[in-house]
Amino acid sequence: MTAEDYNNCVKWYADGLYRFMLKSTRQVEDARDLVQSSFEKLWEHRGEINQLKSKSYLFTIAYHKMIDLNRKNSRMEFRENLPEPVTADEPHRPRIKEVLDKALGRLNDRQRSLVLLKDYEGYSYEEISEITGLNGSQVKITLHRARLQLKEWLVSVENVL
Amino acid sequence: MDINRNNYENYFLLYLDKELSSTDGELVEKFLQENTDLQKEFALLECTVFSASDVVFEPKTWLYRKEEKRRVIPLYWTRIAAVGVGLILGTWFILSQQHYFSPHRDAVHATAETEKNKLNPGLSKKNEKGKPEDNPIEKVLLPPAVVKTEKKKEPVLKNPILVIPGEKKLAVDQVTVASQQDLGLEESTDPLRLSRAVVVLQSQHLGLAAETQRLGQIPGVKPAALTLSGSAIEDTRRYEKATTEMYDTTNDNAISVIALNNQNKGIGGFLKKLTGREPAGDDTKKVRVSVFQISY
Repeated sequence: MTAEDYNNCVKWYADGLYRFMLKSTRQVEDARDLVQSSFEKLWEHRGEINQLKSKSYLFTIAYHKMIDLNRKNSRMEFRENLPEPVTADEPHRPRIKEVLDKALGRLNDRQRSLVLLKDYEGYSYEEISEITGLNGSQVKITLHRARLQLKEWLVSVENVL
Repeated sequence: MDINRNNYENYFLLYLDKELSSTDGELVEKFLQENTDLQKEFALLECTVFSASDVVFEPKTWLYRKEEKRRVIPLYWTRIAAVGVGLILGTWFILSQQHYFSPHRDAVHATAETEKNKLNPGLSKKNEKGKPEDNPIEKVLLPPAVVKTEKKKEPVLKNPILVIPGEKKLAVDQVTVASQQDLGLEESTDPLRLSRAVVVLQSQHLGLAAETQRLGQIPGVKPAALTLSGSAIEDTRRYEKATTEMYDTTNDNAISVIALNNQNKGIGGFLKKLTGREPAGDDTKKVRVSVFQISY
Protein backbone atom coordinates (compact mmCIF):
# COMPACT_ATOMS: atom_id res chain seq x y z
CA MET A 1 0.00 0.00 0.00
CA THR A 2 1.43 3.33 -1.03
CA ALA A 3 1.01 6.65 0.76
CA GLU A 4 -1.61 7.55 -1.81
CA ASP A 5 -3.54 4.35 -1.09
CA TYR A 6 -3.32 5.10 2.60
CA ASN A 7 -4.64 8.63 2.12
CA ASN A 8 -7.51 7.21 0.10
CA CYS A 9 -8.29 4.97 3.05
CA VAL A 10 -8.45 8.07 5.25
CA LYS A 11 -10.82 9.70 2.81
CA TRP A 12 -13.08 6.67 2.49
CA TYR A 13 -13.06 5.10 5.94
CA ALA A 14 -12.25 7.78 8.52
CA ASP A 15 -15.88 8.91 8.87
CA GLY A 16 -17.23 5.40 9.23
CA LEU A 17 -14.55 4.43 11.71
CA TYR A 18 -15.15 7.55 13.72
CA ARG A 19 -18.88 6.93 13.78
CA PHE A 20 -18.28 3.38 14.93
CA MET A 21 -15.98 4.55 17.69
CA LEU A 22 -18.19 7.45 18.70
CA LYS A 23 -21.27 5.28 18.98
CA SER A 24 -19.26 2.67 20.86
CA THR A 25 -17.48 4.91 23.33
CA ARG A 26 -19.88 7.87 23.33
CA GLN A 27 -16.84 10.02 24.00
CA VAL A 28 -15.66 12.37 21.28
CA GLU A 29 -12.05 12.49 22.45
CA ASP A 30 -11.79 8.76 22.97
CA ALA A 31 -13.29 8.17 19.54
CA ARG A 32 -10.83 10.53 17.90
CA ASP A 33 -7.91 8.97 19.71
CA LEU A 34 -8.98 5.51 18.66
CA VAL A 35 -9.38 6.58 15.04
CA GLN A 36 -5.98 8.19 15.06
CA SER A 37 -4.22 5.25 16.63
CA SER A 38 -5.93 2.84 14.23
CA PHE A 39 -4.76 4.82 11.22
CA GLU A 40 -1.32 5.08 12.80
CA LYS A 41 -1.19 1.31 12.92
CA LEU A 42 -2.35 1.06 9.33
CA TRP A 43 0.42 3.46 8.29
CA GLU A 44 3.04 1.46 10.15
CA HIS A 45 1.97 -1.77 8.49
CA ARG A 46 1.06 -0.36 5.10
CA GLY A 47 3.74 -2.47 3.48
CA GLU A 48 2.06 -5.68 4.56
CA ILE A 49 -1.59 -4.76 4.03
CA ASN A 50 -3.50 -4.95 0.81
CA GLN A 51 -5.71 -1.96 0.24
CA LEU A 52 -8.70 -4.23 -0.27
CA LYS A 53 -8.30 -5.46 3.29
CA SER A 54 -7.54 -2.08 4.76
CA LYS A 55 -11.09 -1.30 5.88
CA SER A 56 -11.57 -4.51 7.81
CA TYR A 57 -8.04 -4.09 9.20
CA LEU A 58 -8.92 -0.62 10.48
CA PHE A 59 -12.18 -1.76 12.04
CA THR A 60 -10.52 -4.79 13.60
CA ILE A 61 -7.82 -2.66 15.18
CA ALA A 62 -10.31 -0.05 16.33
CA TYR A 63 -12.73 -2.64 17.74
CA HIS A 64 -10.07 -4.31 19.88
CA LYS A 65 -8.66 -1.00 21.02
CA MET A 66 -12.12 0.14 22.01
CA ILE A 67 -12.80 -3.06 23.95
CA ASP A 68 -9.48 -2.66 25.75
CA LEU A 69 -10.21 0.96 26.53
CA ASN A 70 -13.64 0.20 27.91
CA ARG A 71 -12.29 -2.58 30.05
CA LYS A 72 -9.52 -0.38 31.30
CA ASN A 73 -11.71 2.55 32.19
CA SER A 74 -14.73 0.53 33.28
CA ARG A 75 -16.88 3.24 31.88
CA MET A 76 -19.88 1.07 31.35
CA GLU A 77 -21.26 1.78 34.82
CA PHE A 78 -21.51 5.52 34.47
CA ARG A 79 -21.97 5.85 30.75
CA GLU A 80 -25.74 5.97 31.00
CA ASN A 81 -25.53 9.16 33.02
CA LEU A 82 -23.36 10.92 30.53
CA PRO A 83 -25.01 13.45 28.26
CA GLU A 84 -25.36 12.66 24.61
CA PRO A 85 -22.18 13.40 22.71
CA VAL A 86 -22.12 16.57 20.72
CA THR A 87 -21.92 15.58 17.11
CA ALA A 88 -22.61 17.16 13.80
CA ASP A 89 -26.07 15.65 13.83
CA GLU A 90 -29.06 17.90 13.51
CA PRO A 91 -30.32 19.23 16.86
CA HIS A 92 -33.94 18.21 16.19
CA ARG A 93 -33.74 14.59 15.43
CA PRO A 94 -36.79 12.48 15.20
CA ARG A 95 -37.80 11.01 18.53
CA ILE A 96 -37.35 7.43 17.40
CA LYS A 97 -33.73 8.05 16.58
CA GLU A 98 -33.18 9.64 19.95
CA VAL A 99 -34.77 6.72 21.76
CA LEU A 100 -32.85 4.27 19.67
CA ASP A 101 -29.54 5.98 20.40
CA LYS A 102 -30.37 5.81 24.08
CA ALA A 103 -31.25 2.16 23.72
CA LEU A 104 -27.95 1.53 21.98
CA GLY A 105 -26.18 2.79 25.08
CA ARG A 106 -27.92 0.11 27.12
CA LEU A 107 -26.44 -2.70 25.11
CA ASN A 108 -23.17 -4.25 26.14
CA ASP A 109 -19.99 -3.54 24.19
CA ARG A 110 -20.18 -6.61 22.02
CA GLN A 111 -23.85 -6.21 21.13
CA ARG A 112 -23.46 -2.54 20.35
CA SER A 113 -20.39 -3.12 18.18
CA LEU A 114 -22.14 -5.81 16.20
CA VAL A 115 -25.21 -3.65 15.59
CA LEU A 116 -23.03 -0.76 14.46
CA LEU A 117 -20.88 -2.90 12.19
CA LYS A 118 -23.99 -4.43 10.68
CA ASP A 119 -26.13 -1.35 10.25
CA TYR A 120 -23.63 1.42 9.59
CA GLU A 121 -20.93 -0.46 7.78
CA GLY A 122 -23.07 -3.15 6.21
CA TYR A 123 -20.72 -5.98 7.09
CA SER A 124 -21.97 -9.54 6.72
CA TYR A 125 -21.99 -11.95 9.64
CA GLU A 126 -18.84 -13.53 8.26
CA GLU A 127 -17.00 -10.23 8.00
CA ILE A 128 -18.12 -9.24 11.48
CA SER A 129 -16.80 -12.53 12.80
CA GLU A 130 -13.42 -11.78 11.23
CA ILE A 131 -13.30 -8.34 12.81
CA THR A 132 -14.47 -9.31 16.25
CA GLY A 133 -12.97 -12.76 16.46
CA LEU A 134 -16.35 -14.34 17.21
CA ASN A 135 -17.63 -17.25 15.20
CA GLY A 136 -20.57 -16.93 12.80
CA SER A 137 -23.12 -18.41 15.17
CA GLN A 138 -22.07 -16.13 18.00
CA VAL A 139 -22.38 -13.13 15.73
CA LYS A 140 -25.86 -14.10 14.61
CA ILE A 141 -27.14 -14.92 18.07
CA THR A 142 -25.61 -11.82 19.66
CA LEU A 143 -26.98 -9.58 16.95
CA HIS A 144 -30.47 -11.05 17.15
CA ARG A 145 -30.54 -10.70 20.91
CA ALA A 146 -29.40 -7.12 20.60
CA ARG A 147 -32.22 -6.30 18.18
CA LEU A 148 -34.79 -7.96 20.40
CA GLN A 149 -33.48 -5.92 23.34
CA LEU A 150 -33.76 -2.75 21.30
CA LYS A 151 -37.28 -3.66 20.31
CA GLU A 152 -38.22 -4.29 23.95
CA TRP A 153 -36.78 -0.89 24.85
CA LEU A 154 -38.78 0.81 22.13
CA VAL A 155 -42.06 -0.68 23.29
CA SER A 156 -41.44 -0.31 26.99
CA VAL A 157 -43.87 1.85 28.92
CA GLU A 158 -41.72 4.96 29.15
CA ASN A 159 -40.65 4.81 25.52
CA VAL A 160 -43.92 3.90 23.95
CA LEU A 161 -43.95 5.25 20.43
CA MET B 1 -36.62 -22.21 3.73
CA ASP B 2 -39.64 -22.99 5.78
CA ILE B 3 -41.00 -19.85 7.51
CA ASN B 4 -44.00 -20.26 9.79
CA ARG B 5 -45.54 -18.64 12.84
CA ASN B 6 -43.13 -20.49 15.14
CA ASN B 7 -39.90 -19.36 13.57
CA TYR B 8 -40.80 -16.14 11.76
CA GLU B 9 -38.84 -13.90 14.20
CA ASN B 10 -35.52 -15.49 13.24
CA TYR B 11 -36.29 -15.02 9.55
CA PHE B 12 -37.47 -11.43 10.11
CA LEU B 13 -34.11 -10.65 11.74
CA LEU B 14 -32.13 -12.37 9.00
CA TYR B 15 -34.17 -10.46 6.47
CA LEU B 16 -33.44 -7.15 8.20
CA ASP B 17 -29.77 -8.05 8.43
CA LYS B 18 -29.78 -8.76 4.69
CA GLU B 19 -28.49 -12.25 5.28
CA LEU B 20 -31.13 -13.98 3.18
CA SER B 21 -30.92 -14.68 -0.52
CA SER B 22 -33.33 -12.81 -2.78
CA THR B 23 -35.50 -15.91 -3.07
CA ASP B 24 -35.71 -16.34 0.70
CA GLY B 25 -36.32 -12.62 1.07
CA GLU B 26 -39.30 -12.87 -1.23
CA LEU B 27 -40.65 -15.74 0.87
CA VAL B 28 -40.46 -13.53 3.98
CA GLU B 29 -42.27 -10.71 2.20
CA LYS B 30 -44.93 -13.14 1.05
CA PHE B 31 -45.29 -14.51 4.60
CA LEU B 32 -45.80 -10.98 5.88
CA GLN B 33 -48.50 -10.28 3.37
CA GLU B 34 -50.26 -13.44 4.40
CA ASN B 35 -49.91 -12.70 8.14
CA THR B 36 -50.88 -9.09 8.57
CA ASP B 37 -50.98 -9.37 12.37
CA LEU B 38 -47.24 -9.82 12.36
CA GLN B 39 -46.55 -6.69 10.34
CA LYS B 40 -46.48 -4.47 13.45
CA GLU B 41 -43.89 -6.69 15.07
CA PHE B 42 -41.87 -6.62 11.87
CA ALA B 43 -42.10 -2.81 11.84
CA LEU B 44 -40.78 -2.65 15.41
CA LEU B 45 -37.85 -4.87 14.52
CA GLU B 46 -37.25 -2.72 11.48
CA CYS B 47 -36.96 0.31 13.80
CA THR B 48 -33.98 -1.34 15.51
CA VAL B 49 -31.96 -1.00 12.32
CA PHE B 50 -29.87 2.11 12.43
CA SER B 51 -29.94 4.22 9.33
CA ALA B 52 -26.94 5.99 7.90
CA SER B 53 -25.54 8.71 10.05
CA ASP B 54 -23.95 11.93 8.95
CA VAL B 55 -21.25 11.77 11.59
CA VAL B 56 -18.05 13.12 10.07
CA PHE B 57 -14.49 12.94 11.29
CA GLU B 58 -13.52 16.54 10.79
CA PRO B 59 -9.78 16.54 11.51
CA LYS B 60 -8.84 14.28 8.62
CA THR B 61 -5.72 16.35 8.10
CA TRP B 62 -4.38 14.71 11.26
CA LEU B 63 -4.42 11.41 9.45
CA TYR B 64 -3.06 12.22 6.02
CA ARG B 65 0.54 11.22 5.48
CA LYS B 66 3.31 11.79 3.01
CA GLU B 67 5.89 9.27 2.09
CA GLU B 68 9.18 10.37 3.56
CA LYS B 69 11.88 10.52 0.96
CA ARG B 70 14.62 8.15 1.87
CA ARG B 71 18.08 9.57 1.79
CA VAL B 72 19.99 7.89 -0.98
CA ILE B 73 23.74 7.76 -0.72
CA PRO B 74 25.19 8.04 -4.20
CA LEU B 75 26.82 4.89 -5.41
CA TYR B 76 29.95 6.86 -6.21
CA TRP B 77 30.64 7.56 -2.55
CA THR B 78 29.70 4.04 -1.57
CA ARG B 79 32.31 2.68 -3.92
CA ILE B 80 34.97 5.02 -2.65
CA ALA B 81 34.14 4.16 0.92
CA ALA B 82 34.22 0.44 0.15
CA VAL B 83 37.60 0.72 -1.57
CA GLY B 84 38.99 2.76 1.32
CA VAL B 85 37.81 0.29 3.91
CA GLY B 86 39.14 -2.57 1.81
CA LEU B 87 42.56 -0.98 1.55
CA ILE B 88 42.75 -0.29 5.25
CA LEU B 89 41.70 -3.80 6.15
CA GLY B 90 44.02 -5.32 3.55
CA THR B 91 47.01 -3.35 4.81
CA TRP B 92 46.25 -4.22 8.36
CA PHE B 93 45.85 -7.89 7.49
CA ILE B 94 49.14 -8.05 5.58
CA LEU B 95 51.04 -6.28 8.32
CA SER B 96 49.59 -8.46 11.00
CA GLN B 97 50.37 -11.59 8.98
CA GLN B 98 53.95 -10.49 8.46
CA HIS B 99 54.37 -9.96 12.13
CA TYR B 100 52.69 -13.18 13.10
CA PHE B 101 54.54 -15.37 10.62
CA SER B 102 57.81 -13.55 11.00
CA PRO B 103 60.64 -16.07 10.36
CA HIS B 104 62.63 -14.46 13.14
CA ARG B 105 59.85 -14.98 15.57
CA ASP B 106 59.02 -18.58 14.72
CA ALA B 107 62.49 -19.84 13.93
CA VAL B 108 64.14 -18.34 16.95
CA HIS B 109 61.61 -19.98 19.20
CA ALA B 110 61.72 -23.30 17.39
CA THR B 111 65.50 -23.47 17.23
CA ALA B 112 65.96 -22.34 20.78
CA GLU B 113 63.56 -24.99 21.91
CA THR B 114 65.32 -27.69 19.90
CA GLU B 115 68.70 -26.74 21.22
CA LYS B 116 67.45 -26.50 24.75
CA ASN B 117 65.92 -29.95 24.57
CA LYS B 118 69.05 -31.36 22.99
CA LEU B 119 71.21 -30.10 25.79
CA ASN B 120 68.76 -30.88 28.56
CA PRO B 121 66.55 -33.80 27.56
CA GLY B 122 64.77 -33.73 30.88
CA LEU B 123 63.49 -30.25 30.35
CA SER B 124 60.46 -31.17 28.33
CA LYS B 125 59.63 -34.38 30.15
CA LYS B 126 56.54 -34.32 32.17
CA ASN B 127 55.36 -36.65 34.83
CA GLU B 128 52.05 -38.50 34.80
CA LYS B 129 50.21 -35.57 36.31
CA GLY B 130 51.33 -33.38 33.46
CA LYS B 131 53.77 -31.41 35.53
CA PRO B 132 57.43 -31.12 34.56
CA GLU B 133 59.71 -33.54 36.34
CA ASP B 134 62.44 -32.29 38.57
CA ASN B 135 65.67 -32.35 36.64
CA PRO B 136 68.92 -31.90 38.53
CA ILE B 137 70.67 -30.41 35.50
CA GLU B 138 67.83 -27.98 34.95
CA LYS B 139 67.98 -27.05 38.60
CA VAL B 140 71.64 -26.18 38.33
CA LEU B 141 71.65 -24.55 34.94
CA LEU B 142 68.38 -22.81 34.69
CA PRO B 143 67.18 -20.07 36.92
CA PRO B 144 63.50 -19.93 37.70
CA ALA B 145 61.48 -18.61 34.83
CA VAL B 146 61.08 -14.95 35.36
CA VAL B 147 59.43 -12.65 32.94
CA LYS B 148 61.56 -9.59 32.61
CA THR B 149 60.42 -6.67 30.61
CA GLU B 150 63.25 -4.23 31.01
CA LYS B 151 66.27 -4.59 28.77
CA LYS B 152 69.50 -5.59 30.35
CA LYS B 153 72.97 -4.66 29.25
CA GLU B 154 73.36 -5.90 25.71
CA PRO B 155 76.61 -7.84 25.06
CA VAL B 156 78.34 -7.04 21.82
CA LEU B 157 80.02 -9.33 19.30
CA LYS B 158 83.30 -7.91 18.18
CA ASN B 159 83.93 -7.66 14.47
CA PRO B 160 81.98 -10.56 13.12
CA ILE B 161 81.76 -10.74 9.37
CA LEU B 162 78.69 -11.83 7.59
CA VAL B 163 78.80 -13.02 4.05
CA ILE B 164 75.46 -12.79 2.39
CA PRO B 165 74.67 -14.87 -0.69
CA GLY B 166 75.48 -13.02 -3.85
CA GLU B 167 78.98 -12.27 -2.67
CA LYS B 168 77.80 -9.36 -0.62
CA LYS B 169 80.01 -8.74 2.35
CA LEU B 170 78.73 -7.11 5.36
CA ALA B 171 80.84 -6.14 8.30
CA VAL B 172 78.82 -5.55 11.32
CA ASP B 173 80.36 -3.43 13.97
CA GLN B 174 77.92 -4.25 16.56
CA VAL B 175 75.68 -7.21 16.77
CA THR B 176 73.08 -6.97 19.33
CA VAL B 177 72.76 -10.06 21.41
CA ALA B 178 69.52 -9.74 23.15
CA SER B 179 66.96 -11.73 24.98
CA GLN B 180 69.32 -13.99 26.79
CA GLN B 181 66.80 -14.13 29.55
CA ASP B 182 64.02 -15.04 27.18
CA LEU B 183 65.41 -18.52 26.84
CA GLY B 184 65.36 -19.01 30.54
CA LEU B 185 69.03 -19.97 30.57
CA GLU B 186 71.96 -18.67 32.46
CA GLU B 187 72.42 -15.01 32.13
CA SER B 188 75.73 -13.99 30.61
CA THR B 189 77.73 -11.18 32.00
CA ASP B 190 80.53 -11.32 29.45
CA PRO B 191 80.17 -10.51 25.78
CA LEU B 192 80.27 -13.55 23.57
CA ARG B 193 83.70 -13.69 22.10
CA LEU B 194 83.25 -14.20 18.44
CA SER B 195 86.13 -12.19 17.20
CA ARG B 196 87.39 -15.07 15.10
CA ALA B 197 84.07 -16.39 14.09
CA VAL B 198 82.85 -16.07 10.60
CA VAL B 199 79.27 -16.66 9.91
CA VAL B 200 78.24 -17.62 6.44
CA LEU B 201 74.59 -17.45 5.85
CA GLN B 202 72.48 -18.67 3.04
CA SER B 203 68.81 -19.11 2.81
CA GLN B 204 69.23 -22.72 1.74
CA HIS B 205 71.27 -25.22 3.64
CA LEU B 206 74.89 -25.56 2.63
CA GLY B 207 77.18 -28.45 2.12
CA LEU B 208 80.26 -28.62 4.24
CA ALA B 209 82.68 -28.16 1.33
CA ALA B 210 80.93 -25.15 -0.03
CA GLU B 211 80.89 -23.63 3.38
CA THR B 212 84.58 -24.08 3.92
CA GLN B 213 85.43 -22.78 0.48
CA ARG B 214 83.36 -19.74 1.01
CA LEU B 215 85.00 -19.05 4.31
CA GLY B 216 88.37 -19.40 2.70
CA GLN B 217 87.61 -16.63 0.27
CA ILE B 218 87.28 -14.10 2.96
CA PRO B 219 90.59 -12.30 3.29
CA GLY B 220 92.08 -12.06 6.70
CA VAL B 221 89.69 -14.50 8.24
CA LYS B 222 90.80 -17.71 9.72
CA PRO B 223 88.18 -20.33 8.98
CA ALA B 224 86.87 -22.46 11.72
CA ALA B 225 86.00 -26.09 11.49
CA LEU B 226 82.49 -26.52 10.27
CA THR B 227 79.96 -29.21 10.67
CA LEU B 228 76.33 -29.44 9.92
CA SER B 229 74.07 -31.24 12.26
CA GLY B 230 71.33 -33.44 10.87
CA SER B 231 68.61 -31.95 12.95
CA ALA B 232 69.71 -28.53 11.91
CA ILE B 233 69.40 -29.51 8.26
CA GLU B 234 65.90 -30.68 8.91
CA ASP B 235 65.20 -27.39 10.52
CA THR B 236 66.78 -25.67 7.56
CA ARG B 237 64.37 -27.33 5.22
CA ARG B 238 61.49 -26.62 7.39
CA TYR B 239 62.26 -23.08 8.22
CA GLU B 240 64.37 -22.15 5.20
CA LYS B 241 67.28 -21.05 7.22
CA ALA B 242 71.00 -21.62 7.05
CA THR B 243 72.52 -23.51 9.89
CA THR B 244 76.18 -23.54 10.71
CA GLU B 245 77.85 -25.04 13.67
CA MET B 246 81.38 -24.00 14.40
CA TYR B 247 83.80 -25.33 16.89
CA ASP B 248 86.62 -23.42 18.28
CA THR B 249 89.17 -26.18 18.61
CA THR B 250 91.68 -24.11 20.48
CA ASN B 251 89.75 -23.63 23.65
CA ASP B 252 87.30 -26.47 23.15
CA ASN B 253 84.46 -24.13 23.29
CA ALA B 254 81.64 -24.67 20.88
CA ILE B 255 79.65 -22.00 19.24
CA SER B 256 76.60 -22.75 17.23
CA VAL B 257 75.23 -20.10 15.02
CA ILE B 258 71.90 -20.89 13.68
CA ALA B 259 70.92 -18.16 11.34
CA LEU B 260 67.37 -17.58 10.41
CA ASN B 261 66.11 -15.81 7.40
CA ASN B 262 68.42 -13.49 5.59
CA GLN B 263 65.52 -11.87 3.83
CA ASN B 264 63.83 -8.62 4.61
CA LYS B 265 67.16 -7.00 5.40
CA GLY B 266 67.48 -8.81 8.62
CA ILE B 267 69.04 -11.86 10.15
CA GLY B 268 67.99 -13.47 13.33
CA GLY B 269 69.90 -16.16 15.04
CA PHE B 270 70.59 -18.32 17.97
CA LEU B 271 73.98 -18.52 19.59
CA LYS B 272 75.06 -21.30 21.83
CA LYS B 273 78.31 -21.49 23.66
CA LEU B 274 79.60 -24.30 25.79
CA THR B 275 82.01 -23.01 28.34
CA GLY B 276 83.90 -24.21 31.32
CA ARG B 277 83.72 -27.95 30.92
CA GLU B 278 83.94 -29.58 34.27
CA PRO B 279 86.11 -32.57 35.11
CA ALA B 280 84.99 -35.99 33.93
CA GLY B 281 82.31 -37.53 36.07
CA ASP B 282 80.52 -34.31 36.51
CA ASP B 283 77.68 -33.95 34.07
CA THR B 284 77.09 -30.30 34.64
CA LYS B 285 77.92 -28.00 31.79
CA LYS B 286 77.62 -24.32 31.55
CA VAL B 287 75.70 -23.26 28.55
CA ARG B 288 75.14 -19.78 27.36
CA VAL B 289 72.46 -19.29 24.84
CA SER B 290 71.61 -16.03 23.24
CA VAL B 291 69.31 -14.85 20.57
CA PHE B 292 70.61 -12.24 18.20
CA GLN B 293 68.97 -9.99 15.76
CA ILE B 294 70.83 -8.15 13.02
CA SER B 295 69.35 -5.60 10.73
CA TYR B 296 71.21 -4.21 7.73
